Amino acid sequence: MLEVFLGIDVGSVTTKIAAVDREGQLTASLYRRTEGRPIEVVQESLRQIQAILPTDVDVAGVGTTGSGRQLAAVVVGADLVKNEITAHAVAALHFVPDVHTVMDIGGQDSKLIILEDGIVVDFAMNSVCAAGTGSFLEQQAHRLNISIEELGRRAMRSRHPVRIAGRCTVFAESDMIHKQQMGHPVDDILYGLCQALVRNYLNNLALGKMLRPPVVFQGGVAANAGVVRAFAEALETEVIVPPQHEVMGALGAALLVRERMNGQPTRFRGFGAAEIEYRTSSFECRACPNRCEIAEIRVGREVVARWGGRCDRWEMA
Amino acid sequence: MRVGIPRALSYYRYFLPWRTFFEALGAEVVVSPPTTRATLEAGLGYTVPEACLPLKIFCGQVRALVGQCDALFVPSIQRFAPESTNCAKLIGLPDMLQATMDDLPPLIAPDVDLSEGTRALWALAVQVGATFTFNPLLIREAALAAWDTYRQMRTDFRTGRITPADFASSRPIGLPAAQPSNSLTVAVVGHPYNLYDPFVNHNLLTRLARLGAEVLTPERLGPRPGVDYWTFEYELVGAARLAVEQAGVNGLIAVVAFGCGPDGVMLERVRESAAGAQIPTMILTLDEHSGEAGLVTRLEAFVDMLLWRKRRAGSVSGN
Repeated sequence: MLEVFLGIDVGSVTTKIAAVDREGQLTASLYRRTEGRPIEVVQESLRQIQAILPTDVDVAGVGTTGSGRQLAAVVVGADLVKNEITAHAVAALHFVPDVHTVMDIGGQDSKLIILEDGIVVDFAMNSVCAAGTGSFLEQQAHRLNISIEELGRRAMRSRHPVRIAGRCTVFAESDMIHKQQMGHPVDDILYGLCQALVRNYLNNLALGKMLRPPVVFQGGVAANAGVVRAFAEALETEVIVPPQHEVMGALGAALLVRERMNGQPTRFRGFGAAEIEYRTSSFECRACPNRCEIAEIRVGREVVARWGGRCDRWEMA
Repeated sequence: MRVGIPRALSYYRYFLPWRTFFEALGAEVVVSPPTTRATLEAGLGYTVPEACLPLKIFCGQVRALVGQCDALFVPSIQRFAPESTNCAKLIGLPDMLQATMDDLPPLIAPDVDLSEGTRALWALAVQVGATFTFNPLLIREAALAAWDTYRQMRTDFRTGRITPADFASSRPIGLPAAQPSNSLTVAVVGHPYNLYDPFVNHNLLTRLARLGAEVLTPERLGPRPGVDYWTFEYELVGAARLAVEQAGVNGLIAVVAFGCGPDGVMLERVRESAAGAQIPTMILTLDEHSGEAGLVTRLEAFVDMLLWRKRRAGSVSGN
């Protein structure tokens, strides 16, 4: 019987699951869109990963991470709920034990983690401005009628990239339109866009930090060869993209829960959790003028989680 | 006479002595209720979008007092020491209110400039006291009582018995205790109106305590050295210096309001002190739409990092 630890990373745009065995080896992983309905997508992902794993698998522990980590923890029954910074750092260390710099760019946010002798010594996170993230690239690719996969390939062909303002999506877009109407080749505009994203990332997150090699680049955007090239040029060093770069958060959560469980029984609800019907509702608390929006998750008539308040009146998880 | 004091800005520094002073002169002190979303929404209508969050909250707090008091106390704090100055927005508070609100009660709005020391303090007491009485002995007594309150307040800050969040409460709770403790100490520096208004900082201090950290704030740390040009920047720079020199501080969090000019300039000094002492630093910027999720993730990751470092340091010294 194969014993595995599951890590589930519910991001704003994509949901990832990774399964590792007792030795920490990745045995299965999954990457899909969150589609704005995290509960169903977590459940579907659970079914999908079960289909990939051997039938006699024993789940010994589950860790969740990502902005939907609390929700996912309730849905599957998690033993560990961990923030994305720690999860990503642990996963990067797993592949490159002497890593100094971890860059992660996802759909809606980006992170920079600095490590020293295998421990996190500094980090920065950007969750307000989306100009340096995957959503931005995707939007612009869509505007040029190019798939996100093609964007990377074509950017690699660029020989004279044009300069695109990267400070804000709005400026970048008008800049791109201008360059396009001036007759610049699309490949050069696309690579200019990748460079703008990199500039934005470095200006926002790397202020005053030393980005020393080895540099690991992970998250969905690391699939984009154009952005990898732009990072390598800007940092003047090799940029390592791990093979499972898009599931690193989930992998980190799995590795962390593997470390945490010392033979204790897991709280995992089992793969049957995919069949439980979770119902969500929300209401506005009128106890004070804050009027917090409280979200509630039920199974049948039982409330299994409630959150969203500024005070503890309704909180439970 | 009912004197209204908005629960914002300098309230978090001087409310207790001012209350003693007004009550000794026979006035009743009315404080606006704790900040809520409604406070912010009320304030937004009276400020330009570029104004900082604390200023918007201040305007909302003033709105809560309109109709509830006979006079509104809004000091214009200019400077505390020679060669320093206060933020222009704070100096201009009374003028800003009068220019934007036409239904205000009369303002008690003295200029506070303490660069000339005790003499200026007496002049201030006489100027403000004249609103209530012509008896200079009564004003003198009220000022002395206020001074005693101020000193007692500073002592209570140092022991952690009270924080500015307790000012209007009859049962002070002080700084939140780590629960359960992971034996980390995190210094949180910033202006008291950012640190002690849980609406503004999304319950930052309590969240840290629940993550197991003991919290030190500028008030707890005690008097800060240096004034650094900006009158109130010692709450950031001075406190940061003091914190990193203190044994046992594992990490430093600087809390600033988005768009705060003086804080923006002075953060560099905070970073320098912390980097010099090799203490990890995190800067939290507060804004009216700062998402709670991002804040929680940052805090958790910061505490994880400190624990990681601590364990590593322990195992190295153990070998």
